[in-house]
Amino acid sequence: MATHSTLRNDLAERAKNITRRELQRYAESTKGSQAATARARKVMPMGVPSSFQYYDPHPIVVRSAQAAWMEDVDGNRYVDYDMGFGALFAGHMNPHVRAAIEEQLGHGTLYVTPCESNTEVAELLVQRYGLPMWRFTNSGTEATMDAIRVARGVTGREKIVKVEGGYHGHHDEVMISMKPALDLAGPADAPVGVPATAGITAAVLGDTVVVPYNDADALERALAANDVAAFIVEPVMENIGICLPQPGYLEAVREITRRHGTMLIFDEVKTGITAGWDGATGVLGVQPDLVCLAKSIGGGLPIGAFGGTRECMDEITTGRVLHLGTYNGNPLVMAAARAVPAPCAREVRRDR
Amino acid sequence: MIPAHTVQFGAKGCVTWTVDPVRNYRDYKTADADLAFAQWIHGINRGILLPPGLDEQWLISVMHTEEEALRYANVFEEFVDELTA
Repeated sequence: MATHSTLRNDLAERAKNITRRELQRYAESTKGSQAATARARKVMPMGVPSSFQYYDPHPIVVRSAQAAWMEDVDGNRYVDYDMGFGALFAGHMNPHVRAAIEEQLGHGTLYVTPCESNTEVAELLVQRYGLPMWRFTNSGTEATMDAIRVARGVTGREKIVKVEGGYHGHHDEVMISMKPALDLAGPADAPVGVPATAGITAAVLGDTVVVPYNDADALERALAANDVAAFIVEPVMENIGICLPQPGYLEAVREITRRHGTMLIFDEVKTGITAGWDGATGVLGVQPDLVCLAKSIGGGLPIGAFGGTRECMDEITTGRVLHLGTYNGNPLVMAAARAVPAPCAREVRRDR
Repeated sequence: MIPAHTVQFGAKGCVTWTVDPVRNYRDYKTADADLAFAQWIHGINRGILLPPGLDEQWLISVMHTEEEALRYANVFEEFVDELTA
């Protein structure tokens, strides 16, 4: 009878053989992508516009997408299950979204003065998330950056806490312990913050405390001194596959953060409408102080948003916290955001 | 037994290459990256476009037909059959 380790070795050997054969096949079928990447490398680091878009042996280079399909420069067709890292719950060029974009193109793409669709989209987010005030950004990164600034403003505190392995965009204070090497990361129940990139200052590193996900006791210890502005967390972690909260964890997080005067920020950039009409917040039934959205609310156009309690968002109303951005709430993106819910609602509304 | 299981939340799901559910980052670090890569490269050569590696999820959009949604499952089954033959 084979032992456990023998079986694992057999699987590893077969996986190695499959990989060897398939790499050869990939090289032969994606020669156009390979050439395009080689050309791109001369003018862009790694040949890609975002380092997330590079993967070995080389990325496929895409020329078109429609509905659930993408086609690369070699003419290979793929069913897309990546869907823009989850941004395309409405699908590639959903007809509702496309019609809205085309209609808006006839009326301009950038006003830098408000349009009525700003309010319409914000009103929809109020209904869906139960938070009374919203602002728009251009990405999830901006949404988490601004939400953290609001939390610091309302609490008058500087430190934040994040989860080890959590991704909240690419601004300095959350690019810590995204995927740390374990030999640098310290003990599992009290992780050490590890910069994910060069360029993070010691001051920023010192202001970001890292805790394990699904460990309410560790959060309690991190907040004990009542000096933490915000705990930012994905209610369902989606940077390490999908990591579900253990029963009672998010409820404990809510109670602990409230007791210590720490703002609870739910990063729903990746969950959002893919989780349900009212996001993971509604599905899991725990209400944070601030919610960050992006990706799927824009139907494939760049958008972010953050919403909060009146106490939090009054920081912006009073001007104590500045929230700015030339392209925030631009009418083209708003047209798409206004069009996304209709084709999605039938799939995600629990009350339908 | 293959060290893998699936996790789903809403319209997203993933294959996690561990025997036991992942509760945090340290659990995630025990996943088998070689099996994950073998499955990814096997899939992309058969028209299944997924993010490579261990991090991301599949998303079934409102525009995937049932046949398109199931295509990944069928190709994954082919992979597992070869892996365990």
